[in-house]
Amino acid sequence: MDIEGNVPYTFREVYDDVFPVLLKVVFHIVRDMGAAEDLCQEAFLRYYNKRIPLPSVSESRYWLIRVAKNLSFNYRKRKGRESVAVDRIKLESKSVQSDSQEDLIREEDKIVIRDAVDSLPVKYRSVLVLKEYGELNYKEIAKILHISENNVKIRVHRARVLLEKKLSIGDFHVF
Amino acid sequence: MCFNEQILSAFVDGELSEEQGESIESHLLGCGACRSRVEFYGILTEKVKFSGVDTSTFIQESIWTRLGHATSTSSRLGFWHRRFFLAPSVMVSLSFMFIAVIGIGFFLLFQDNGSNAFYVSNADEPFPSENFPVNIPVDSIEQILAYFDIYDEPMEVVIQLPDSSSFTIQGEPLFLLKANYTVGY
Ligand SMILES: [Zn+2]
Repeated sequence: MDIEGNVPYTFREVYDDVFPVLLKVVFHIVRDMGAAEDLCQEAFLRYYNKRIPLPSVSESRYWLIRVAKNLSFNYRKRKGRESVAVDRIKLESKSVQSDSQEDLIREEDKIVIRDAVDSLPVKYRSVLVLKEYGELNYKEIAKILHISENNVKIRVHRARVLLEKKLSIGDFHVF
Repeated sequence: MCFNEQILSAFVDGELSEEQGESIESHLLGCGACRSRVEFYGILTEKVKFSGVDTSTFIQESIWTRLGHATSTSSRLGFWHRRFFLAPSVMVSLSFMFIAVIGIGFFLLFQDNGSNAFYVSNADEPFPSENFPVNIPVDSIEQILAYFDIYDEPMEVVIQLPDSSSFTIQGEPLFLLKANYTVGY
């Protein structure tokens, strides 16, 4: 790596590449768009202030997602279940404006599934959020979480089994 | 022989080798149990993806603006690698300056009975008021954050710096002048 800190990409390139994924991942952990925006900003600030630049955009992506994910889980720990309530309040205010019953049902279905994902233990929730919302593959998830690809495979499957249970019992039958 | 569910789950994600994928595909043709498992994982993935939030470029641009960087999208990093590098002696003098500022703050706090230092006040309350809480002196950001955790209403946070002009002359510009922009890590 160049000691002068010259890297073959710009901050803006990294930002444009990573931001959409980062925002989705963070939102689905904290369930509050305002907080998600702040946490993404914080992650990029930390990236910007890093003393040692990363060698590539993809390494930057893994670093940013890892940091943002940790910031988000810490935020959740502080906030407890409050953030989920915010998500629901937003749904309710949205439903007032919505003119279509169908839209409303779709939004409610989304919340049911988000709640189910949200209720998973952290180790399964992390892989699922990264895979389905962050659209990352096993190899990328393994790099972000510092676990093996095989471990990712095991966790994804376990998450699916748990989700199946959550979504087919209680008041909602999504399937 | 049937495949275990973990393999089927990875198959749905397209995470198997071509060879493994083909052998599963041929197995699925003759096995309803594995086929329904694969279908289920597929639907589940679709449902979870569908529940994903939409993000707009508006948010992306507003956070970019908030980050306060980049006037040109095509420029090379340039400023990105400006690093604040402070010699130890400067650090020490800055530390003393910081302690002095805090000291002055506390001095004012005690001298003026708390109205002149670091405090937060409830913005909804007429000021001054007999009602709790109007004026809460704090001495750290953590205390303000702790306050926010307890009381979720709007409030005004005032950070009172010393009036002396020497603070700005010898404080911030000195800090900026001493920063070494050329050192990279
Ligand atoms: Zn089978």
